[in-house]
Amino acid sequence: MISSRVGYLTKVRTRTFEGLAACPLVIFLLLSLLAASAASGENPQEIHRAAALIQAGKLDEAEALLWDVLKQRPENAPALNLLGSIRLQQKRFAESETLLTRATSLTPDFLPARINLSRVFHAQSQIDKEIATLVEAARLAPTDPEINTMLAAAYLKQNDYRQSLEALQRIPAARRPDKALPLLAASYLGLGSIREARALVPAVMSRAAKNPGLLVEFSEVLLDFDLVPDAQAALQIAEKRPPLTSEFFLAMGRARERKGELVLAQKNFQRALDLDPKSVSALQALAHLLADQGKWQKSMELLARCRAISPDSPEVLRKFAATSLHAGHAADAVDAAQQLIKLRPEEAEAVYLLGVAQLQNGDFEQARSSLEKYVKLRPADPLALLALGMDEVNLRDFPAARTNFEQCIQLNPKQVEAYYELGSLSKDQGDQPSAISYLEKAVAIDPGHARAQALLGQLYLSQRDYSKAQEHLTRAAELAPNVPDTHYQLGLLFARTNQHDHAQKEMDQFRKLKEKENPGPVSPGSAPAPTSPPYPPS
Amino acid sequence: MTRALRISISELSCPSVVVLGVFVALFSFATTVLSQQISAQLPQLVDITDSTGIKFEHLSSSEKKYIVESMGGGVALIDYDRDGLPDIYFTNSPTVDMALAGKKARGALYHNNGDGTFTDVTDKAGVGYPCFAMGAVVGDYNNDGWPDLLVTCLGGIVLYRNNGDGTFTDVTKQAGLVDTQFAAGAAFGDYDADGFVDLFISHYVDFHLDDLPKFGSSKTCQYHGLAVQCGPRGLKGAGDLLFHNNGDGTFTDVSKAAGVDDPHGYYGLGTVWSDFNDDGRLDLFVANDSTPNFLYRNDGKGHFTDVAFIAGAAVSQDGSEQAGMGVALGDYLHTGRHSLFVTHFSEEYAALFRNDGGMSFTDVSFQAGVASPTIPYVGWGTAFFDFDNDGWPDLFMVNGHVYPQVDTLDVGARYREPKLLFLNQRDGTFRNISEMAGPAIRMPQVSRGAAFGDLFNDGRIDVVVENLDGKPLILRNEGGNHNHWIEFELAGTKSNRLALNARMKAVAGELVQVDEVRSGGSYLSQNDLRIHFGLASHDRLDRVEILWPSGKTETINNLAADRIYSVKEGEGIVSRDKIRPTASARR
Repeated sequence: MISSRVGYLTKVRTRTFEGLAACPLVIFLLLSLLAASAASGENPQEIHRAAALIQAGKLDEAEALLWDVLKQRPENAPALNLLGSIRLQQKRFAESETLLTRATSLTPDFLPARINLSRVFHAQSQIDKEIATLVEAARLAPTDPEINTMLAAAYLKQNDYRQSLEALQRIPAARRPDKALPLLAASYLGLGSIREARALVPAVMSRAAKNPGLLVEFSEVLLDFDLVPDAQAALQIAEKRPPLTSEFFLAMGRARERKGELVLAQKNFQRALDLDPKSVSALQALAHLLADQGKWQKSMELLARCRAISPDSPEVLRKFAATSLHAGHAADAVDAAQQLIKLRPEEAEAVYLLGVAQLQNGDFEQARSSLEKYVKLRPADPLALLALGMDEVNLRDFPAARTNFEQCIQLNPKQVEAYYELGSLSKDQGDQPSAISYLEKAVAIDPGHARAQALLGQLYLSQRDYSKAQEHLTRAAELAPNVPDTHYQLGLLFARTNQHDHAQKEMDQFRKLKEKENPGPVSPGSAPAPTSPPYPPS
Repeated sequence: MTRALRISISELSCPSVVVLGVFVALFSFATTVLSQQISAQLPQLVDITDSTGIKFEHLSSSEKKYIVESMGGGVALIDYDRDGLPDIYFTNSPTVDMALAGKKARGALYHNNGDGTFTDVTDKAGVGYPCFAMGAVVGDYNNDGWPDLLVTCLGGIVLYRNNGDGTFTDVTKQAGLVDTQFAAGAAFGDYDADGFVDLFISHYVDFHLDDLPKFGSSKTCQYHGLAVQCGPRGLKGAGDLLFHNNGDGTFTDVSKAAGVDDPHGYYGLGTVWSDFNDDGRLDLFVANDSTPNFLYRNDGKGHFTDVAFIAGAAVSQDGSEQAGMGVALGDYLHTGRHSLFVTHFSEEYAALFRNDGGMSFTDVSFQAGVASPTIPYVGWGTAFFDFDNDGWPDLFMVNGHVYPQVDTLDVGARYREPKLLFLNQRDGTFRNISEMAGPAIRMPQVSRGAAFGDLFNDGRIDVVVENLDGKPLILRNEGGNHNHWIEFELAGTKSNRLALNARMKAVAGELVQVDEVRSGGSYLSQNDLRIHFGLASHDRLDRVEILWPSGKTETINNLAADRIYSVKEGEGIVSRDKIRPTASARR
């Protein structure tokens, strides 16, 4: 499922530093420049020129110059830092990390290298390392507004609101940057201090005169914590201060979505997208809204656009893969999940997503491998055992499937789908009494499980227990009136009990639904799996 | 060892591993011993093809670019010279490229020499080049006592009249059998009980050599993303035909009036006549590929109603259309009613529809244990037959994929597939004994037609399998137990001469069996027309009751086992000479 939140905290958790600093690269390059002169006193002109070239986007020239410096002086920390920043821009993270680590070890108090190093970790979502690096930087510059703001943002990614608040409180109030205010609000709200968060409103209002976007960011935080009326109040003020940005409409859309005003929300998201066609946040918000309405195909198309804009975003890949599964495009889901695995080889959720996508795509052997890997990572996850069991049914490894379904039930005795699968498996193995027993448990847990009701009815029909068959088949038809099979079974039931008019009626309904279900020809082997595997959580 | 067991072992401490290991070893030992014991009692189906002198090979294209190249291969057992030994007719079809170049494929009639060998008599018989052949069935359309041969073809049908002198004459036109479509299944049956067998023809798809569907060209020409032959889905179907026998050597097309013309054009294949609801009238079952099956109830007065859905025999147990190919009938439960077994495409299951009486069927495939083992295979020819003469019909089916390209896919399926043999457990279930009846049936092949009969008059049912790619397979039923048996060759007088759809009820102690003489069935094939009963340890048959197609019943008591009897309608047991026609006999 797509995350229901595409809000401020989500952005903080997923985006790179562009939201926290207008142009962080410039800042850190300048910092590095200043520090370079101070720290080394060697080759200052070359370092200066290289920094200017990087700012101008002339990375090749800058790199050549820096290599010349490093040939002469391999231990020139400013040169290593700049070269590391180039590698960061090139997404050659391993090299960047090596260069920057070398720079910090050569000159431990060289702040720019530490900040750049934290960005390397940030870009790879290695939050622990990012925080450790920033903590070290903050030790060197305890009240530095940028460093503490970045550190607060990193703590927020871990929902560590207290540490986040402490970092922000180290910044003297007078030097607190605008972007620190939403983070401060988030920290307070995370700690349950609504009053303190509301107390920030005058400061936000005051600064919003020069920075209208601040109101939008602040309202996004309020939305994250379900303070919808407060958020709307903030947005109404922002609305009076044009020009209205894509972010404004995105926040407005989210507020309306929360209030259940879906049509208006969709319009707002669309407007946000019109203003910024490359807004991944707007695309995701719209995709989520459509997915909630079951419009998986359209949702998937929007996420495909996100993928084109942010091809290496794990968040986008995750959502794209999950939505593709719902939209019935399992091959696309596999592709996205495989890309995600390359980025996050040890991320359990990525492994699970890949396994489920492979299962849905009919790559049963590969799915088994992925799901077994996931089960090793998360042995207590009943859903994974369920998915693995379903895969093993496809591989016709019935004993293994049974074991996994049973283990799934041990972990979660209310896992109705596992009972259903065990019932179905028992039926397929000709053990009708066991099948009935499992399915009775399934419908006892969830009387609204239409497939279990239908299968139970079918089994009772087969056993000529017409009364129970009618009870369960009728219930199944009430729960899912458009499933052709249920009407087929009811038709058979009525035929067996000499209710010929009813039988004919049910058979007619069956045929009608069947024709609707299969309007066009289908090639052998292309039929979708009758039961979907448990899709990954958002 | 199963994966589940490995998990259990890995979770146990060392002493437990040892204990479990001992248990596993004991269990394996017990299972092996049990299998060996069962195997020792079972006959073996032995490949004797090479020693029979049969050199026939079905022509085939390597790629099977067109569906018509994948659907043929029917085989018929026909005692054409009435010497008491079933002979074999293999159908053949050219590749599309050959056909377009005007080349033909030679079918083959092999005379059974009675000594385990066969002689190719095709040229003398004149049945080598009927058409682009699919299947063949046997009936005596003119009641002269000489079994005639009907061949289904791409482009219609060919009726060969048996001249009684070892030759046949193509009488299709003079018999008024007009058909230009892709004929597949066929069966003779006297639906109006006038003593002359009528003829039903199922048609597959609307397919013409001058308008070929392009290989891999659309969604219905792909399999798991791979380009393959087109169809049947995506291709137009073709209606079916019922020809009423006028009794004068000609037929009249009554398809529409009878209500069996299939206006929707379902993809018809296996076909069989039988009185499913015991009302004395012949009903008709048609296995349709990828579309619901037909079960036509004979309403009398020449009209039929399709009751397949209400009867529970149209689709699978979960309401899905399946790819019906071959069809078998048998009283596997000893209820006196014939249940249906229909073979299907892979990823489906071969369906066993238990006949509950009153034209009501229940899909018991999973309960009976025949569903799961059949899911991986594309099934074709099939029959209930008493493999081990224990008095309970067993089940056999031959398999083989339609797409040679499947070998390049990693979907578990292979082009060549083994056959399956299921032993009747006498409790409504079957045991898969494919691993216990000799290596021949495990040999992967691309099989299609299968005909079942006592080739050597030794009381054991043998199997002739026609393979699409390569030579056929003759499986001789040998060894195992010494159970008794009995066989009957029936001749109608008031009823049609070959006694098609005559029913026999055989009683030997507690064993009460029912079987029927049938034209067609299996996959586009013809079984031995004689009725065979296994008698287990009974060396006598207490009683046999015959229900002739004319409606007349006849009872014969106290027959010694291990013999083949000839029965003439109204005269009881007679010598073989009395039912063998003379060369000039015509009625």
